[in-house]
Amino acid sequence: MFGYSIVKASGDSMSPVVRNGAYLLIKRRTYYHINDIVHVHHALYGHMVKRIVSLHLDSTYHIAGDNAASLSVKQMGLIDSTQILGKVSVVINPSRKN
Amino acid sequence: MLFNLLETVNKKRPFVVLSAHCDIPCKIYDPITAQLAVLTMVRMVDLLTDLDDKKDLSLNDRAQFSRLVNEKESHGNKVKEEIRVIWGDYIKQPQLDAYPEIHELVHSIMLGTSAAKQHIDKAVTLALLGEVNRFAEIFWATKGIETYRAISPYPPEQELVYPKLNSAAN
Repeated sequence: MFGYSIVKASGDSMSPVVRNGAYLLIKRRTYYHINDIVHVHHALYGHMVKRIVSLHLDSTYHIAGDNAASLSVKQMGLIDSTQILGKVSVVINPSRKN
Repeated sequence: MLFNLLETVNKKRPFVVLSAHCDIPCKIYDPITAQLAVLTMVRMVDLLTDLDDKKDLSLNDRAQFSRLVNEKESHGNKVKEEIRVIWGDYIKQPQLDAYPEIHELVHSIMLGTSAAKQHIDKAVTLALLGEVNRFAEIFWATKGIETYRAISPYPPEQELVYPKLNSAAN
């Protein structure tokens, strides 16, 4: 609704910013910046939440997880702007005791 | 509080799940979770069939019906998720070269799980169990671990593929 959607994150590749089980408010945008955490629909890995680490003149991006041992930038390859479904605007993490 | 509210909504109408798996890779993979999830689906079908044999359903029976269907559905989702993770994260070119059937088998498991969710049909669910067992056989074979088949020591007492692991005791 109004370009917003709510999704749930599964996994810890973006921890501690996005913890396993967190809810994310996603806002669709026309362009994205380095360091934006984004909802990506990857051809091989499906729906993911990752961070933009570089952008290029031809509207392609490289993404990565925050954890050093995440899938590598090379493994995920170049991401086309059409594969980015929105920017994470709000993160609602589970409490530590959950 | 907001998180708990969203949790409640998610239980009623699940949100899209984005993968943020560690992708380390942690190397902790085991198809037994998928196998047990199918086994649970078979068990739910048995219990639903028992209910179907009753002439009149009491309020408790109807509540039980709802629970059984819900469990069958959620375990179907678990089957898909567990198989997808092993297929997507663990299976790579060397395993594909050794077992070229993997892609087709995984796709068939996805379709079979949908069919098992859509119907209360033991034959369909057992066919799914057969495919998930085959997936388990391939998985363990890629690790050089032999497998054997045995009847699960609990209902619904169906055949499962187990790895032949060495005892930790020396």
